[in-house]
Amino acid sequence: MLDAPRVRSPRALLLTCSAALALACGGADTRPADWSYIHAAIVAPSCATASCHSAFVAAGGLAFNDAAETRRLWVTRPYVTPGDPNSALMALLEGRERDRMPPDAPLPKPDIELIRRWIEEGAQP
Amino acid sequence: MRRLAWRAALGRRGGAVRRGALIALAWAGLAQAYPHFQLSSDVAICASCHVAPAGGGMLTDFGRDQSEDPLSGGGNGGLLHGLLKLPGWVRVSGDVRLAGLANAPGRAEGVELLAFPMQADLSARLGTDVISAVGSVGLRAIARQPQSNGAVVRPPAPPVLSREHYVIYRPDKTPFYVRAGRFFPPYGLRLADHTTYIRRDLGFDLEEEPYGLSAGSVSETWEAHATGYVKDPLHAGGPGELGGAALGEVRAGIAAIGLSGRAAFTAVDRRLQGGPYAKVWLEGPKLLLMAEADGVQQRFQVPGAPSRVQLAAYAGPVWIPLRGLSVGAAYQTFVEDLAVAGTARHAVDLWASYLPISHVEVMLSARAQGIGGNGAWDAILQLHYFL
Repeated sequence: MLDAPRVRSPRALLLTCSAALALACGGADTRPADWSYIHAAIVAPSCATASCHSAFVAAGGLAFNDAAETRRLWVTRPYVTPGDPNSALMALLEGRERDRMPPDAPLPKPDIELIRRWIEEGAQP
Repeated sequence: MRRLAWRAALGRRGGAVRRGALIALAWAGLAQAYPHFQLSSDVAICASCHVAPAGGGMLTDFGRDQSEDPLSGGGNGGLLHGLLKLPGWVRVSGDVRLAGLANAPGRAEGVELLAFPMQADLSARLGTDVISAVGSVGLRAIARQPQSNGAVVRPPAPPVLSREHYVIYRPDKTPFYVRAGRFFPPYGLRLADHTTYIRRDLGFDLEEEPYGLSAGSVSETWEAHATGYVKDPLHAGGPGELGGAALGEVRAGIAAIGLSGRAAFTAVDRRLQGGPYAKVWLEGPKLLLMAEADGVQQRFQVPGAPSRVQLAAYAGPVWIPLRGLSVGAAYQTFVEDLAVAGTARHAVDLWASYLPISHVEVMLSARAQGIGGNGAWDAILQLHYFL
């Protein structure tokens, strides 16, 4: 006989509910792994916030408000190695480095995977 | 004749205006209010206690009265506890907020512990109840010093900024106003916490105040505000943005219901958003129930890119069991793209705020989040003093 799944903590309960609700209201990710789209839909609203990587504040000396400049910074630092899905950026987004980015509002997995696909496909501009 | 309580309250201390109102205790560098005080007393107009027509930020003299009684344990709510008297055309205020943060976003080194000055702002209003100039200057809240991978390509931003500065004109004996300058367009519940999804993900995050021209009307039973604005590309997070926002709210007894909307246009996208919000005060259990839900339709100016629909919602009670003590909880969600599974964020918030005397607040809050399959939590202790 199979045991019913056990929820061991409030955090686990929240995660379980989140996963159920999220799956209930969405479908497969068919968004394009295109830099213009990724920058406008994910990077600008999540990273280039007014008090962080905006042109004015440029936390860490990095401003991500412009798509072409952001890609250039990511590739030359190098946070992104075109074709390498284990680029340094992925460790930051997934929290495998010392810090996680964004530090207060980590990205959902589909967004991270879309960025990974873009990198795997050559991180084209 | 309709009584313009909000105007009567401006510049009048201990007058005939009814007791109870909204108090402005800006936090996290934002001149926002604590909206749970709006209906928990018998004055429902934000501008009774705030200089700003839609609430938030600097207090009126009446608002300072309210900060003594009933909103805290007592004391003297006047400037520097009543020690300093200024001419009627000068109003000065200030906020200092220190924070201790435990943040666990799912990082390799576990929980991040930080202590930092969250806010240090000085505000002033010069003028009369008819026309005045309002402005603030303060330190930018910098929680952490980010590390750069390689040479810094831009110098750090100045540590000082002005979040708000505007001129406001209120024709005498009318409910109308016109305002021009830097401020947030009135929208939704106007929560103090800029990290709530209905603020952060709807264009009202930290330091995002645009420059705008706003007009509106505020009276006992309803208010309406309309704003045209521009976000300059330097200070705004993304590209420069042109937009407009509108809010309408009606109040009857223990309830307030509102509707707000916003349209924003940039070189790369177009966003249309809007939705209802509501507050209901239950006198028996001393509970205020608040809720807001907004839908967003975003179209990208990117060839081949799909448009998306987003949802942001917030709901929760605030319990005010004792004078000076507020305890709240909330559930909130933000779905980044309704068409893509796993892009939803959900959070449960718990918080308590205690004002032992006027000018002094201790606040403890915690949040657990589920973010597209990841878990995160944070807790923050704030010590707040306002002049």
